[in-house]
Amino acid sequence: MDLGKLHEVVAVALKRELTGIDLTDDLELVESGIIDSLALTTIVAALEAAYPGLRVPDSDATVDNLGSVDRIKAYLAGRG
Amino acid sequence: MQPLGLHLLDQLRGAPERVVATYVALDGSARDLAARELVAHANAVALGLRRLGLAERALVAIVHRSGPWLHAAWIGALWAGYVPTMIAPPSPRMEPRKYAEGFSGMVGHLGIDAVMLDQATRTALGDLMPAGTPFLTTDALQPVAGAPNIPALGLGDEVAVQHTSGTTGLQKAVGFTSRQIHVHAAALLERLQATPSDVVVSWLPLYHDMGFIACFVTPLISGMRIVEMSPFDWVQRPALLFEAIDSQGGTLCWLPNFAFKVLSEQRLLAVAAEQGRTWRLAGMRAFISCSEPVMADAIAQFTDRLAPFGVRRQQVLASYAMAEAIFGVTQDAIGAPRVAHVSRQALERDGRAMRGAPGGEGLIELVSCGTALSTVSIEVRDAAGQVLDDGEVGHIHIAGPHVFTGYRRLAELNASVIDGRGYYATGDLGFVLDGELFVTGRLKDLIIIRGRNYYPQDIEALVGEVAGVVPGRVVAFGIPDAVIGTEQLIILMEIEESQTPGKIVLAVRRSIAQSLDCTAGDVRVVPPRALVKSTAGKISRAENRRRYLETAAAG
Repeated sequence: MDLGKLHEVVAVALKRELTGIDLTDDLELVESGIIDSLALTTIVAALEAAYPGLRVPDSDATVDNLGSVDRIKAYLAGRG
Repeated sequence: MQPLGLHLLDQLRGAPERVVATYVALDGSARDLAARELVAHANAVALGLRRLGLAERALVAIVHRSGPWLHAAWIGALWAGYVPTMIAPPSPRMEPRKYAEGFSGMVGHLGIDAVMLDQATRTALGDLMPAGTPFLTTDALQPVAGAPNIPALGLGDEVAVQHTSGTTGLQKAVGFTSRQIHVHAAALLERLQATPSDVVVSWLPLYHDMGFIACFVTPLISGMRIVEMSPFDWVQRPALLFEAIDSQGGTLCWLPNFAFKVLSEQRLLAVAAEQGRTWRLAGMRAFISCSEPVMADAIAQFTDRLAPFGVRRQQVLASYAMAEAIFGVTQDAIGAPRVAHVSRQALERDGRAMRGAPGGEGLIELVSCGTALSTVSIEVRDAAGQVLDDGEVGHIHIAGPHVFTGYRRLAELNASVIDGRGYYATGDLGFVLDGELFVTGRLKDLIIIRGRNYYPQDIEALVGEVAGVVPGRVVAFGIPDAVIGTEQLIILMEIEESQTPGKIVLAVRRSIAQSLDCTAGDVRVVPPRALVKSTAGKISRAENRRRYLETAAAG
């Protein structure tokens, strides 16, 4: 899994929400009010489109796993 | 008809083994609560509250996550002779200190005498509890068998207080009596032909009138089973609602418009298909869209995509409701949703609804909210107060035995929104056609996001406090977004010239999320003096909103 493109995947998926904001890998997206937790599905859909074969179960769609680029990186790395 | 506390006690003790509520967990497992268990839980609450030594008719706030103790807290407070009121607990992303500040403000301006909370909320608040306010931690109690000794109250005594906004700053509170709650329930249930065999399935929070009245109080007093899941769990796994409807035999479900979109998202259905999941939804008597503008497109997407699971258009009803009327004002009849195809030009230019044949040119489809409940009178008036004819767009006024008589502690405001005949000026715009109410817009600046109400002045004040924002040079308003099925919060602001826009935008987003648990759709820095003022010298929400929409349309 090419995690190098992850930053770009998130930036594109949340293009509108990130207008005027510099997306750093440690930016907490939900806590900072960029998106709400319902919009985590937008990130899930973007990840599944960017990484064919990946399926993120609902039970994993949490702020802990997907709330920042760093968190997503750790989550995907943990899945192998 | 009995006072609510006695009514509930008789009802629950009359059938002790009946399952009153079923709690569905994130993993789909379900736990039934029998009437005798609920009595024992609520009895423990009543005893615990009495030990706090509160004055008679004290106002007791319930700040609680979903579950049996939340239900018991409300009933127990009634049984102790107090007036319970549900308050939103802190959401995980809210900054505890900011939540506590807002909450302490509410305790002061609403006159809250005591607080009930669950252990998780108690832990989250730590030492930030409002000073000097007694509290009771409900889920640390042990259920106590036996019957409570309920103080004698009349049907005309206030037993419930609810709030009109999702924000904590300027909460407006409305109180209702036992008689009003019974009268409202009877009218709503009559319209829905509901019986105790109905099963209400809900993820809605109880600090909101739709969750509190439609999915808790009304089923509770009429003997319908409540199937409930946590709003947080539903957000994480929306399909949980369908699983619960299927496994628990659900028949009634209230949802805000955006939820119809969420529940029919492509990915949700694709995952279900992959996993070979199917839900039996044909047995639902009604999915009721309420609490935010009902969009034809959201209903169409929901019914089209869920047709394989038995969903039919006739099941999706609409309702116009508000905390000021306890809840229901209008409601479609079972199996009979209505739409009107009217000329867009006549509606927008002349404020008049002129019907055309479906599919005709220049027509728009509007979803009816149904006819008034038998207990409610509606008048649509022009700005001068004259009652308008059918089909003419004007201000919606409502009256009836369960419409409120005034906000608590806001006498000055009351005089301006309730007239001498008891009609409440809702601040919504619409028309009545053949008895059906169509809501077309809003006179007031209220913003409704995912069914929750926000006052723009709360948001503007908060943004004005962010360092770098020019105080008083901020405007907040809502714009409808058909894609997500709700309103988007737009914030335009001017900032000090030395500041970096990106940092301020982020600080503003963070502040709104942490204080109001609200997410803005667009936060934008505009050039100095770009915000338009009204002739009165105040920043004009309407004019800035109009310009924003114009710019957006121009791409």
